[in-house]
Amino acid sequence: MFGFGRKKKQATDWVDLKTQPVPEGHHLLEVNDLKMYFHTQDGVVKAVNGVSYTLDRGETLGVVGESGSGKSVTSLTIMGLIDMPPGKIEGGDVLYRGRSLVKMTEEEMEHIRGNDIAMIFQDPMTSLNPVYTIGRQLSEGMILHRGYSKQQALQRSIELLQMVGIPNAEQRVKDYPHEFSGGMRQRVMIAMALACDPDILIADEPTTALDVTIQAQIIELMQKMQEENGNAIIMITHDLGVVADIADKIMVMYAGQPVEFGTAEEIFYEPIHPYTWGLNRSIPDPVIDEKRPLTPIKGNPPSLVNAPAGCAFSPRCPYATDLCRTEQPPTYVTETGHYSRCHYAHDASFVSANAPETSRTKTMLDHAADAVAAAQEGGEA
Amino acid sequence: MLRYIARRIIQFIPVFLGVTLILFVMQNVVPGDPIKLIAGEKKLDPQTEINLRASYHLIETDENGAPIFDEEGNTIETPLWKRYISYITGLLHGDLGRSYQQNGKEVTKILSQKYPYTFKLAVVAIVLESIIGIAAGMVSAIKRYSAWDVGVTLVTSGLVAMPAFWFGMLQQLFWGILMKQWTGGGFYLPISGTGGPYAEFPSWVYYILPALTLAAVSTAYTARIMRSQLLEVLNQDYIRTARAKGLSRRAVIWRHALKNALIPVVTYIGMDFGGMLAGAILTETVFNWPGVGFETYRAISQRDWPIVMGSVTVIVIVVMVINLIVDISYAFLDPRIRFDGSNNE
Ligand SMILES: Nc1ncnc2c1ncn2[C@@H]1O[C@H](COP(=O)(O)OP(=O)(O)O)[C@@H](O)[C@H]1O
Ligand code: SF4
Ligand SMILES: [Mg+2]
Repeated sequence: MFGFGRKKKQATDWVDLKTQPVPEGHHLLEVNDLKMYFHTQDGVVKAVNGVSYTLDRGETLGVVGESGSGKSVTSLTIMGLIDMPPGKIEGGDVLYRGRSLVKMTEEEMEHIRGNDIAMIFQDPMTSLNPVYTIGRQLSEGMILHRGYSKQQALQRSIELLQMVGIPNAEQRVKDYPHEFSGGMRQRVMIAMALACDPDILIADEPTTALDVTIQAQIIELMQKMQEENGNAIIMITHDLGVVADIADKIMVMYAGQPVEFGTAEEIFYEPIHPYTWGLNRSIPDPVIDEKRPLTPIKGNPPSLVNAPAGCAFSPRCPYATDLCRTEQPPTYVTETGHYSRCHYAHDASFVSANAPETSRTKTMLDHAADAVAAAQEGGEA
Repeated sequence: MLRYIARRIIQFIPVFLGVTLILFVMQNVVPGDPIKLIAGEKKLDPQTEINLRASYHLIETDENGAPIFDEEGNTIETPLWKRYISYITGLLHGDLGRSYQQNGKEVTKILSQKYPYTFKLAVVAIVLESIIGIAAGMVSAIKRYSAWDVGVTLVTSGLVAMPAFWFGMLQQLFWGILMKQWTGGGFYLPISGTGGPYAEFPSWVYYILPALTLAAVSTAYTARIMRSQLLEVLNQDYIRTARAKGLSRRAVIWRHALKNALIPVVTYIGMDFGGMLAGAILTETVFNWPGVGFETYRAISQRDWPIVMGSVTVIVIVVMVINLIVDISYAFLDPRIRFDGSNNE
């Protein structure tokens, strides 16, 4: 798995891709029909099966789906952090500023990671190395990618900690991770990810492990940093409510596949996939009324090894027909690029008859925004 | 930190008293009269025997050291508790008594002659164990399921299952005897003793087989602990964080994984060193190595209780000091551990 690599080439002969213009006709990040399968003893796990999207600077993409739907594997594949084997890219490509990340060597990817594309993870309690100080862990990337001296890097670490709102930063850089609360550690993770001013920040469920009150603060911090730096954000979550407020585009994933992709407005007000309807209905509503009780989607996600023959959602879909159970749905794309993998997505009468009522009004989004605002009023522990 | 050390030392006192007391009581239960054994096969002259018992304070004496007799003209045995108290008193004055067998030689002198051999052997063994064990475990973890890993697993399983003395004897047979035959005396290793000015080999050669024997089983454990720890650490979230920063695999292993993985390994090696300093009775006996282990073994078989008591006393203290050092070294490896009594978690 981990080999004793040869000594890494110095950064001097490498030109940071983030300083290069995005070539004509390309986006900052383009994921095209990406497929990442795991070859295990139990069979082939199709963890990512045909994911496509584009992303530009300043944009936020929300990736939403149940646990196990392939959200993390998708982003780790982009980062080149999936061990191969057992993983294998079975198709598709990832283009960053027009360059294929899939075809890059490990050495080239080391320049990209942390420098052009940075990532923060779900559990801030375990994502920092317990035996080194925060300052040392913050400095590492800057020493590596920017050629800073230890002194410069430490100085910059203090500034970064101040930027992400950690009080008494001069003292705190010398502290160890266990001396910080969960919310504070996630702030440290954000500071660490932004240390080299990346183009893209991938946040893999950054608030799932945190208290509700702190969740909103972390999201707000990421937005504020985005306004200052202009980076793109890929926000992964299993809770559609979390991205309600901040995403420009949303990709809904189910069983390794994107089942619906569109702008946040499209996903919230005009969703055309039954799974998205289910997600919309299951957003916890701060003002639960009897007419619209919380409706979680019944059943469990399918096995990724023996996927159902037809639509992957068919075992749980209330509208499934024989066609659904036998044939894979095609991708139906609207003029705006809003797409859905459902046999009936093109059928306006089917959609209007079955889509949740609230999703076509603005109340849903307003409620979600209220929830965030209410949470922000609470202080961080 | 100082308070922690003081507390540990205070906690240690009852343990020490308990261990020595048990041993003291055992002296009286184990068959064989040590004073009668001094003369070996011969019969001891009754007056000499009384004088000997008096000089070792086994019977009551007056201020001049002359034995006291009861009405029937028999000597009066000193009660156990009195002897224990005088042992403790002596200990506090740095006096561990005198040997029964070696013409009343002072136990402190005997031990100070033996301890350097045990210490040097232990250091060589621990260096071998650390280097070979850690390196083998690391390579196994990094190249998991490779031929190397399978080989290490097989060898370590074999070593763990093998009694140390038998492994030592196999070594003697192979390197000392068979090798000598096969090469017609061209190449072989010494299998006994420590060399000396007139010895066949330079002194260091005498360390090879005893040190290998002493280190064998612990090296196997070290390699296994290192392998499993490194594999576990490499699965941790903070390793993924380090990779996401752009560090190479190699840098991640050396800078992020190793220190974490070493914490339990260092504990094991430290405890093991304590054990080796307690004298490797089997290894020292098999190789005629003149250390405390061999000496203790000999003393037990000859019922030379002062030596047994003395070496156990020193061993208990040494082991306790080593354990304390290991615990303290934790704090340097793992910042989550602090000795101020409060828990940071
Ligand atoms: N190394 C691996 N080997 C085999 N299967 C894996 C591996 N990593 C992830 N998977 C599988 O890929 C699927 C998607 O996982 P993941 O992307 O982590 O889901 P999530 O959407 O919760 O982030 C899961 O079914 C998981 O079991
Ligand atoms: S294709 Fe059929 S089963 Fe699948 S989501 Fe659409 S209606 Fe449901
Ligand atoms: Mg995940």
